[in-house]
Amino acid sequence: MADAIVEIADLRKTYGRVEALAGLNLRVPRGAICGLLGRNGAGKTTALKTLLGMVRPTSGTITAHGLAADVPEQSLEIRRRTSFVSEERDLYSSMSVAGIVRFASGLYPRWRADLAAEYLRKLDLPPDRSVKHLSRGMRTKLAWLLALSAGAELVILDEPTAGLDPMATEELLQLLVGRVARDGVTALLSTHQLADIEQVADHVAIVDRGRTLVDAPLDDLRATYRRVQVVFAGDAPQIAFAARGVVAARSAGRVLTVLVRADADGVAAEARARGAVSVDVLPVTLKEIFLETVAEEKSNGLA
Amino acid sequence: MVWHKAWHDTRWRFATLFAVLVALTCFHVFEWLDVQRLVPTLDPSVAGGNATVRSALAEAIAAEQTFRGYIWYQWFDQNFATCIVLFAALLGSGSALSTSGRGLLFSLALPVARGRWLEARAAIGVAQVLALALVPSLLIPLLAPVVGESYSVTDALVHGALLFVLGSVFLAFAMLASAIVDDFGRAIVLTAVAAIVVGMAEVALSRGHGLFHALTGGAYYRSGTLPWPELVLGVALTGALIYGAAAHLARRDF
Amino acid sequence: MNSVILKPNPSLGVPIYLQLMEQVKHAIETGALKAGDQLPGIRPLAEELVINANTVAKAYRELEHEGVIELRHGAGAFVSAKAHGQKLADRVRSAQPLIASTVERLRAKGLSEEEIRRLFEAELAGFGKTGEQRG
Repeated sequence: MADAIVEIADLRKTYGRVEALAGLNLRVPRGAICGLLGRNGAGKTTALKTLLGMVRPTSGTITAHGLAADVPEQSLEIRRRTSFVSEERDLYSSMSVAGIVRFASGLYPRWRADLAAEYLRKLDLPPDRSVKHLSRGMRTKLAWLLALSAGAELVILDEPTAGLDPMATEELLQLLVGRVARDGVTALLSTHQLADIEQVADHVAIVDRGRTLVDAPLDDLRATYRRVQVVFAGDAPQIAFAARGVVAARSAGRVLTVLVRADADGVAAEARARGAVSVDVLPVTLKEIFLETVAEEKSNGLA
Repeated sequence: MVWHKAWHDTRWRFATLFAVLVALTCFHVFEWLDVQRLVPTLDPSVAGGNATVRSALAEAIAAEQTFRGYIWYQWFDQNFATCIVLFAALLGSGSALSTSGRGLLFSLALPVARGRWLEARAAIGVAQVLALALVPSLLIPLLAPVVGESYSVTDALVHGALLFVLGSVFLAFAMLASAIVDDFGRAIVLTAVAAIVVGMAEVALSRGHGLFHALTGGAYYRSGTLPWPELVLGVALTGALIYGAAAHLARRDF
Repeated sequence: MNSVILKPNPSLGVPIYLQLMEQVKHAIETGALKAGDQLPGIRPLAEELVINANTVAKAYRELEHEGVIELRHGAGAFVSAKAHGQKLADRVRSAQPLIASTVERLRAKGLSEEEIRRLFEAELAGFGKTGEQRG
């Protein structure tokens, strides 16, 4: 198993009375493209900001490249090896495209001028235009350019394809995939675009209300999560499954639908034992895994 | 790079303020021609029964008998002092990390220690206040002959230096206010309010002592003595306020 | 520019590497890829399809494990020797009557074409009632 470039254990952050992070755990393997999923306000951005030293944790450990993110001197070293695309694409509005590239190039010790030139060309960014006159789409591309040229081992992206047309999205994802493939860069992608994650991520973490619900390789999720659809002759009974790994069970009329994290066969067998007329074990999309996992967590929280 | 950005962020502001001060200096020098004609004709008794107004008027008339007195009374003691405080506050306001309120997260994500941003901004700011205080001051000995007078370069340097210290204090205050409130507008207002409060407190309580009173060079004008305690206080305050700004910036969440 | 391997569908719920493997095997069956042909490099293919390079690597590793391709160190990935390809073609040919008879029996039971197709697809993807899961 690859060593972890980011390790977060029991991370907590409280703002006054609001608990933004309530014991978050995360392990990002080196060289992976890790998707961070969660509802708005789940704590994703807070976690990323803590990683970058913008926010100080209330408690817990958080390290990147083996360095502590909550110690200023070490955080500085982390930022030498990490780059960031913020959700707002917050850049210096009065600088030109070329100006901000020059600015960043002087601050990152391992800046890749060759990549910056390549991306400038591929993304068709006008070097002399001022940042404040760029459309949101172009500012997004510029933010990506800066992050991918920084020579960073870890690239953190917050909603990086939000607001982009499909072509621009594909273009940028292609650059990311290329960067990861060529230099073993690790990417941490916080996003609502599940399609992006399913396409390029090999690791997924689902976060809700400041806690981690899922942290696993994407292929493992695809291999083990199943939807078991059970049809009964009469109204579907409520079954308390003995099989572990049941995430959620919902019945509507004669149909009982069970989302299973593992041991779908066990669940299928139990259902048949209870007199099911038909049992289907079906694949699950990431969207369903996300929705069911978070919904279940929500109802657990309310219970 | 960081220093370049600090300069880049404030250069238009600085250029404008500098131009304004140069213009005002010239105006004051040339006004001497009118003042020179007018002052001898004034009589404090026109103030009528109001003793405060009458004594103020008497003071003004006494001072403005000479070019040196006029320059101190009207320019260094009043208008220039007000300008320097306000302009220093303008130069010190606004986050050291962003430009016109944008780019904050970008700055924070860069491999630059937070203190370094502040340090660069403080250094550039101090240099700018120094320029704003000294250059217009040195303009006076240069322009005096045009109005048929002369003005000591030493006097200009001393008054300029004293006002530089006064201005620095409020530059530093504005930087501390900006570190706490982020917003340019609010920082400026806070600093202006602080300046007014200090000024009024000095008038009401200190009987002729205090930052404003000393650093506008009254003692030097009258007897050539430098206000050492206030100079030290000014420098110490500037240092303390900037340190406070750095400490706050280092600890806070963004 | 590779013309054999198409963009996989990430939302199917089927791991992408399995989809890639199926595509390579299908290409060999149809003759689009012959024995000795070189497959696209892992990194170029990942960039072209805009998928994770680890996924491509996994697909290639599994294909090598199954003997479908050979990974020559430093040179790339190549379709295995002709003999294996032939065996595959033979196996496919001999399986055909088996499929025909099964489909006939299911039709006799009253299942529609759509239902039969769904059963086959579910079984092949490893999700059938017999429960043997792959991957």
